[in-house]
Amino acid sequence: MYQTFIEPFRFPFMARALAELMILGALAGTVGVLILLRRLAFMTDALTHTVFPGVVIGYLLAGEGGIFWGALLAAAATAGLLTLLTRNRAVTEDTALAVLLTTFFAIGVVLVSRESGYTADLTAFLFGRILTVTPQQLTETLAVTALVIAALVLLRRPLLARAFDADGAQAAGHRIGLLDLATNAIVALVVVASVRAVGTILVIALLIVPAAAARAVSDRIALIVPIAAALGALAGWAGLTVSYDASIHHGLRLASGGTVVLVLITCYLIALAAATTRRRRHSPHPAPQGAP
Amino acid sequence: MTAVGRAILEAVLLGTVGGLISVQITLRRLPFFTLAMTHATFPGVVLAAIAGINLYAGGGLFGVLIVLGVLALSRRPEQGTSTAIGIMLSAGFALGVVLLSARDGFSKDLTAYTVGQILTVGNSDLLAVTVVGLIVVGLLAVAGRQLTFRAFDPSAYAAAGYRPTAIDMALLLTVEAVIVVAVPAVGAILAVAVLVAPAAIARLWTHDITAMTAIAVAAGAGSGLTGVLISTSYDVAAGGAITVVTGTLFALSLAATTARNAVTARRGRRPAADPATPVTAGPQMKTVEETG
Repeated sequence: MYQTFIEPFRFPFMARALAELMILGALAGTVGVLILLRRLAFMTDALTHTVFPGVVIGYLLAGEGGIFWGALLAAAATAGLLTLLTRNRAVTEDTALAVLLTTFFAIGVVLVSRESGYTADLTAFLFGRILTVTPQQLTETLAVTALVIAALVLLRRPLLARAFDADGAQAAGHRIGLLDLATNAIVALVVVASVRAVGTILVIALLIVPAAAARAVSDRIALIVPIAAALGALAGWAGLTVSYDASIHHGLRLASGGTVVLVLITCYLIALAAATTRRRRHSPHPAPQGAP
Repeated sequence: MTAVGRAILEAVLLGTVGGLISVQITLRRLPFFTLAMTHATFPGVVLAAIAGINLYAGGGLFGVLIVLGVLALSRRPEQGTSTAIGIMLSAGFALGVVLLSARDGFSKDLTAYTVGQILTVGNSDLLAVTVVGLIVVGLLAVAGRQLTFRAFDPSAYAAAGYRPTAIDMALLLTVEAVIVVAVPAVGAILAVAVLVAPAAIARLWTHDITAMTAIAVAAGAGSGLTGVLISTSYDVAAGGAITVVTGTLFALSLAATTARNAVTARRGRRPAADPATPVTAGPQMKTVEETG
């Protein structure tokens, strides 16, 4: 056990990768509950793709340091354009998201395809470079985490009110527009902070799967949030270990980001199975469809 | 025929087929589902490539499994459809990536599958697109009216004695068939543009289904042609160029129709809300109500 789960992380680069992945896993797991409650899975997926041109332009203009700001600008542009597009009632939100997602991503692809190291850049974007995380990047991730957690703690009551009863929240005097903007900003910030290290594929999985798994085993927010955060962090650890072990001891190269996602999916399926058996044991009759 | 000639033919055919089916996809609010299916077809294509069987057969078979998975997951009361789709999407993509990463020439293959390689299509690819196109035309000719009826008033459709499950299955399988032929040409991520954007453009101009279909086909075929021409003359990725053209067309249509609506509203010939009324409240709805 020690050899498999602790040994690899004695290398500084592996330890940094583990720290980054666990922090992001916990952060994304927590924010994922908000995404689950507000049913924002499609918007989240769109954001992970629309930051791509920002990453490319930021990198072309200012090198590594420009990536974060480029991505942030692209995320802000996405949120703004989405609000603008859905104002036209002939454009439904899902259509607007699909068009924005593909167009932004395509702009990134067109720009990057002019470069010579085209395929490698695209791979880095889709997977991230988790093994080359610098101490400075870790500090940045911690700062974003602190900011997002602080915002969530401060806004937890209005955000929950908005998620469960929009009309009630408005009647209670909460500003719906501002709350939605805050939600979008929180999701965008997590996407931007993680995309360079872990890549798009992993970001979307970290934001959706842990919260869904936690939701399957409990229906109390006070339990769902810690379970989702712990699951996000632990899956990061397990995935990194499996991918390291496979490549060092078995000569099988497995992309670390993809492996983490597959670990998460396995946890999700186990949670679903556990929830099903528990429900069967508690009630001899199956729960009626549409029950909360 | 030269490679460029074949690429142009493929792009135009694909644009036509995508334009035809895209109207049904937007009417039924399926863009996110389509996105998930494109990502989930990707591991099927990779598995088929590893196993050395036909790429179309492998991708299609896997896509059908994913359709069944989403339908099964979204029946769970506590898991919304959007979460179920998000989970299948990340699971499918991660599986494809992990499978690919175990092979050599990883980055290059990955790029081919995510953003496509339209310049390498052969006669068999052209044949596949044509066959799928005939299937789409067949479906729309036989069941077009039924599909529209089902989209606008599901309960009346069921009450009229039709079988919703059968027609849904037929539509989803046809969408999957179009995805399978689109992925090699424009890639898993950008295929959504071919399958959603043409109808989004057409919907801005009209809410008559026949006119929408005609505009969608013209927009799809036109952006395919322009995209490949831009791609060959400026040496950028073809899938990206096609999508950027589609996105630009959407932005221009949005600007033009917004201006047109503003002008008609000022002249007072009809109320400003009319052109922007959602399609469900359009004239088709009334016909459906009369028949149902």
